[in-house]
Amino acid sequence: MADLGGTELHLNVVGAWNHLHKVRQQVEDLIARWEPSMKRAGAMATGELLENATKYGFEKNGSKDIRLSVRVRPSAISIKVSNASVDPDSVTELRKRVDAIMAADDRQSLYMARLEEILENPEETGKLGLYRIGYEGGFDLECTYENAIVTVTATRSRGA
Amino acid sequence: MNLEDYEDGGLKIAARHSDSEVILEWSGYSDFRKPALVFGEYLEGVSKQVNDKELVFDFRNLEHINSSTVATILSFVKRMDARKIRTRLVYNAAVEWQRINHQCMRTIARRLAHITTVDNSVS
Repeated sequence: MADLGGTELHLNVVGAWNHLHKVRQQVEDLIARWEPSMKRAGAMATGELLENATKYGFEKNGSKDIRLSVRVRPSAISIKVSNASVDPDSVTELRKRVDAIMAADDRQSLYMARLEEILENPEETGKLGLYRIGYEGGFDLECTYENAIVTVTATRSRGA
Repeated sequence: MNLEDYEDGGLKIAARHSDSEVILEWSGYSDFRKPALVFGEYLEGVSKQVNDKELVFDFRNLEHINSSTVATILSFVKRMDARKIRTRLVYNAAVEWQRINHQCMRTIARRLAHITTVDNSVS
C-alpha cells in the first residue's frame, strides 16, 4: 500500500475510512522533524481530504481509487488527494468552497459561519472539513478537475 | 447514578461524578463517519442522569477529532443548552488545534446561556 521514502509519501487508498488513523500517523512520521503543531495540522488536513474523497468520490461515484501524495520540502508541506468524479455539480460546489477560502481575508469568519449554520440546523453536519483545513490548519487550497479526476491540494509554508 | 465509560474505535470517554459535576474525560481520537450514530446515544444517556449537576466535557487528552465530530459535539452542546443543562467544555490551550477549537466554541457559547468554556492546560 505504501511507498514511503525520504520526504514523500504516495498511497493508493481503498476504503479510506478504515485506514484514516494509520495514514494520519504515517503523515505525522513523515514530518516528524517539524514542530508539533505542524505535524498535527498535516495529519488533520490529510484526514479531512481523505474523508472528503471517500464521501464524494468513492461513495457518490463508485471510485475505488483515492490517491494521496504528501510532499515535504524544507519550506513547505503539500498534501494532494485525487479521486474520480463523474458529478461536475459536486465538483463545482467543491471549487466554490475552495475559492471562497482562498479569497477570504478572514478565514476564521468563514469557519465560524459554517459552525453557525450547523448550530442552526443540526441535520447539517458536513462540509466543514475544507474550512477547517484553511483556518485551523493554516493551509492554502487548490482544486483542479481534469479527465473526470478531481484533485484537492493543501499547501502550508513552514512558519505560516 | 449509573455512569459507564465508553470506548469505540480509537475513542475513549471516561465518566465520573462528584456532588456537583458529571465529568466526561475524552481521550484518543474520533474519526467516525457519523459520530452521532456511534456515541450519540451514550451522551444522551449520560445527560439524562445529570439532574442539577454540571456536565463537564474534558477534551484535554483528545489527540484528534474530525470535522464530523466537531459538528456532532456542537449539536449536542446546543441540545444541552436548550434543556438548560449547565455544560462546561474544557480544552488544552497548549495544543494548537484545541486552542483554536476553544476560541470558536467560546464565541458560540456567548449566545448559549448554559454553556461555558475553559482553556486549561493543567490536568
